Formats: sequence, structure tokens, C-alpha cells
Amino acid sequence: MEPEQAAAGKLPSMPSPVVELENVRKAFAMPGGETVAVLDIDRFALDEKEQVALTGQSGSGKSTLLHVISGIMRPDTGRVRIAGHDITRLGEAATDRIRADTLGLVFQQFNLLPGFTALENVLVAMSFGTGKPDRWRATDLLASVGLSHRLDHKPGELSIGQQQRVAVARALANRPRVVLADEPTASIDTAHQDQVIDLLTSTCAEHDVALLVVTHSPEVAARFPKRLRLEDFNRAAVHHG
Amino acid sequence: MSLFGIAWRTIRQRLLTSGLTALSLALGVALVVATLVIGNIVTQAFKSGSGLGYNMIVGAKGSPLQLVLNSVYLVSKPIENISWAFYEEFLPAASRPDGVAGTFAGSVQTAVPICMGDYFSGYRVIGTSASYFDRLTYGGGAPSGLPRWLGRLLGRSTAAAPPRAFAFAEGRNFRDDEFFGGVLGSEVAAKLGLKAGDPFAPTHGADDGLVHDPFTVTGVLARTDTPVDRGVYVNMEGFYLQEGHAKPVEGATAAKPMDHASGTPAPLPREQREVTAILVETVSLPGLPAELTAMALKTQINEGRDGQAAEPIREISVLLGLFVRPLELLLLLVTTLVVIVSAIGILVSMVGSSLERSRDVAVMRALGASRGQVLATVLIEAVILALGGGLAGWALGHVLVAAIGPLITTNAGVSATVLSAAPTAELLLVPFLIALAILAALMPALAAYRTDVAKWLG
Repeated sequence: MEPEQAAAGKLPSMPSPVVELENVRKAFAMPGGETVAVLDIDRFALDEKEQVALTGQSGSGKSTLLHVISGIMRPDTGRVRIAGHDITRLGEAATDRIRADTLGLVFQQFNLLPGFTALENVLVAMSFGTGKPDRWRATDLLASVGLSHRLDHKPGELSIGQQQRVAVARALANRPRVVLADEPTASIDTAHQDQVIDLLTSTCAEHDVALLVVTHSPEVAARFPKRLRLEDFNRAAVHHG
Repeated sequence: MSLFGIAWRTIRQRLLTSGLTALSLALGVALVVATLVIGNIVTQAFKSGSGLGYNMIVGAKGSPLQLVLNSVYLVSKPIENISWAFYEEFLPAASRPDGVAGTFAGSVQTAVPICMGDYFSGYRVIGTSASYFDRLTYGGGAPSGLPRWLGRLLGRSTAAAPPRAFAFAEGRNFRDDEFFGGVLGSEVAAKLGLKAGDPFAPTHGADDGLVHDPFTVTGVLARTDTPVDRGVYVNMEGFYLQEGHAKPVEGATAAKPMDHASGTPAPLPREQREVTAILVETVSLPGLPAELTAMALKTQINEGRDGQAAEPIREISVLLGLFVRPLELLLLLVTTLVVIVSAIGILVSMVGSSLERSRDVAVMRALGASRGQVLATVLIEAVILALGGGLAGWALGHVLVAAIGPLITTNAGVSATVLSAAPTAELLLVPFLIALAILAALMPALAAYRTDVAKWLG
């Protein structure tokens, strides 16, 4: 499918892998003029429905990797394919559309919109996708994460755990092919970490969605059948680790 | 959820900031609208002289503008008086004691004398004859305000309305033989709580002057929205009989008014009479334009030594050119500044909230919103604030005009209601102001457009 087609409609199911990086390099210019390489990856892939925990030390480039995969940040070189689409060759608008339709993001700080209710936070995500915002589906998603009684509550009126659930429901709003979660347990206490991971893994499995969780916690990573260390395939992380 | 819905919820989220932004715009627009409408009302007030039922004022030599302001608008001081004999030159043979038509009678259709100098509770007292209300008219001219605008909108004629005869809300006009009868303008009656049958005693020269004999209200005029509303009109025969009103003539005895309750008083002798001005309607001679007759009469009077003739319309247009137009320009300058300040208010408010907005914009971008969508969301937010504030301000401006309406009526003699309008200016300026506010929102909208998503997501 060409980029224009990708931008024009919902993407059909594509063969695995759903995320694929090849020869990706990303460096940042420092104020002093020095350039610091953050990503130097020959190959990285995430198959359909696969659930992977990606660990790495602080500053190893975990967040940058997620930004590159989601198209928020462009690599200096290399290819990033999402559901078969090379987003490094697409324009920004087409990348935005692929991000809306194919990827679901869960942030460390949840990043819910504070002025919107739980239901509206899910509906906002739907409004950027190809399909029309579906109030019933948004309600179902929130019910599936146990929040049917908190639909009209704003983030400030929800507990941390409930906010995280809204974030998970929002990530699934546009029937994505993969959910990217950036340190989803970093803001919650140890007692609730298992609940969040259970929620993510079970919900993604239920919706046939691949899951890539970035975490610095070995305990969290241990909950996943497949675990990767960023230092193992990111040469830049090795150099700085 | 539509972009409109997102923008609306963003406004609700920042209710205080958004409310203050809209309020600042509303106050700006209200000020602009009130200024425009009041300016328009004042202009219309001066133009309302077009349907007076007379086209010339004859008075003592001096400033013609002062003569018009004093006689038509009941402001400024009278210049001087003119002699009764000179007044009689405007009368037909039947109205003169010698049975010979006056010098100017051939060019005159109506000549109504007025005498001024007395006051009643701050309002001017005008001594005149019954013909003032029987022969003269008011109104006329093109409709103003909302009626004229609606007329244009509906494609109906907005041509000059015919002048209207004076109507009485209560009672009737005084008769010429009712020496102590008087008619009150609607505002005077309303403000002072007087009605037909009530007595009132004018004072000489000023409110604290000598108190004259009481007159009796024979009628209260219906509202005219002209300076007549704030006039106290008394029979000039009774006016002449008051102390200090008889012209001192050697050998003549000052007339003493009789007790008018016990019988008809003797009128003041002709040689002791003076008038302040004569309101003249010139004749329309067959084959000759009325303006030509008026021009010839004016020239003839002004060449003489007894008085001057002034054309109210001409003087009013001089007044408009000299004072009102520059004032309008000044008002326009002020309103332009208000518009700019309001737009800056929107800009400051939206830029001020852009830090708060940046995080939300970054989240929306991460969820897949395009740059165009976040730009549109911020602009829609500005449009909602600008339209809401602008329309509220527009309504508030009209409420303001209505609120200070009584003050305008008192000073300009015209009504100012919530429907008073300056249609052309409002139709142009209010949308312009709203557009300017939206334009001011472009800067924060562009900032949202350029938001660095990775930076704000951390």
C-alpha cells in the first residue's frame, strides 16, 4: 500500500512483523556542538500479537526508540515500518494518520487531557482516527477496564490506577495493531504494578494487539514471556551504558 | 468528538481564563457599539430638524447658529429680541391691526412667534401662540436606527417619512384666549409628574429668578423624540403679562396682570411687545421652487436692519461639519484603539495559556492529531471566544445605550433605546473586531502547530 493509500483509509491486516526497524540511527546535537548518538540499531522487530518487555538503563534511549517507532521523531537514517508501511518515507500527515490508526500509546504520566472526562478522553483519540468517534465502543472499552461507573469523571476525580485504566482504554480506541507503553508502572506503587501489567497484557491479548512495554523494572519485565535488553541491540546504548 | 467539541471542552477546562478573555472582548465591543450608537443618535438628533414644519428662523442679528440652537434645540442663550412691529411684517392683512399685509407676508405661509427667557424646574419656557402646535409639525426625515436597517434588509423603502402633526397624550392645546394656559413636552410632564389641570409657575431668567404667575397645564404632548419633549410652552399673552417681560416704553405704564381666575386680563399693548424669534414656513409659489422663495426672503431680511434670517438645515449642516464630524472622527479613533486593545487582550490571554495548552497539544498529536487539526482546534477556540464575547458585547453595548438613554433624551432631546443602532458602522466594525480577535489567536495557534511533541511528552 502506498503512503497516500495509508493516509486515506483504515489499514488492512498485514503480515507480521507489525513493527520493524532497520539500520536506524538517531543522534542529538548538544548545546556545545557535540553530537550524541542515542539509537544505533541494525534490526528490531515486533510480531503481531506479540508481547515484549524492553528493558534498559536510564538514558539508554528507551523513550527515543518509542518516539521513533510512533513517528513522533524521525530517525536520521534507516527504515521504520509499521504494519508494513515505511513511515520514514511518508509525509508527516500520513505518519500522523498511521499513528492514530495503528498505534496505541500509554505514557508514563498517563497524559490524560485534564478538562475531558474519561469517556471524552477515549472519544478524543477516536476523533483523530479514520473511523468516526463511537460513543458505545468507547463506553465498552472503559467498561472492559472496569471503569463503567467512572465515565463522566475527569482525570482529577480519578485515582492513579483509574487514570492508568483510562489511558489503556484510550490506547485501544482506534483498534490499533500495537500498543506502545512507556514505563507504565513508573508512577504507581509496587502493589499496583502487577494489576497494571495484567490489565495491559490481558486487554491487548483480548483485542489481538501486540504490546511493547518499555520499563526499567526487572520485576515488571519478568511478567512477560519475551524480554529484550536495549543494550543488546542498540549499539549507542552500549556505548553510553 | 468533533474539533468543535474539543475546542469547546478546552474552553470549559480553562473557564476562568476563557471567561476573562471573552469578557475583555465583550467590554471592548460594548464600548465600541455604545460609542457608535450614541454618535449616530446625536447626529440624527441634529438632523431631525428637517421635519420641523418651518424652513426659516428670523431673530435678532447675530450668530445664525446660535439662533438655530436656541430656537430649535432649546440650548444656548437667545441673542436678543426683535420688535413686534418687525414680527407683524410677516403677517397677512387679516392678522394686522392696520389691515395691510406685512412686507414679507407674500412669501410667508406660516409665522409662529416665540418668546424665551423663563425657566421652569430647569426646563425652558417658550411663550408662543396656539399655532405652534396647530400649524407646525415634527419628525420627518429618513428613519434611523434599527427600523432603517431593517427596512434596508427587507428591501423596503427608507425614504423620508412625512412630518407629523403634534399629538397630545393628555389634554389639549391651549387656545389663544387662554392667556395662562400651557402645554408641556412629554419629558417635562414625566419628570415633574405634571398632568393636565396642574398649575405651574415659571421663573424669570433662571431657576432661582423671580417667580411668575402660575399657568395651568391644558395638555401634555405625546412623545416626539425631539427637543420639543423638554419644552414648556405657554400662551405668549400670559407670558407678556409677567413682570419684566414688557418692553420699557417711555410714557407707557407697565402692564399689571389681572387675576386670571376672576376674568380675562388685558393683553400687553403692541408697542411693549417683543419676540425672541419667528418660525417661518415660506410659501411655495406656482412655478418657483420653494428654496428660491426662501432664498429671496432670507436675502431681503438680512439686508435690512431689523433682524436676520437663518435656515435651520443649513446651520445644522454647518454645525455637523464644524463639530460633530470631527467628534465622530475622534470617536472613531477611540473605538479603533479599543478594538486594538481588545484584540491584544485576546492575544495575551491565549499566549498566556499556551504553556498549559502545549502539553495537551502534544498529547493530541501523539494520539494522531495532525498539525492542521491542532491549529484548527485553537482557532475554533478563538472563534468561539470572539463570537461569544463579540455578540455579548454587542448586546451589552445596546443595553448600555438604553441605560443612559434618559441622559441622552435630556441632553439631545431624542430617545435612545435598546433598539437604537448605528447599523452600517455596527455591521462593519463588530465583524471586523471579531475577525481581529481571531487574527490575534493566530500566534498561539501557530505555536500549537509547531509544538515539539517529544519535548512535551518527556
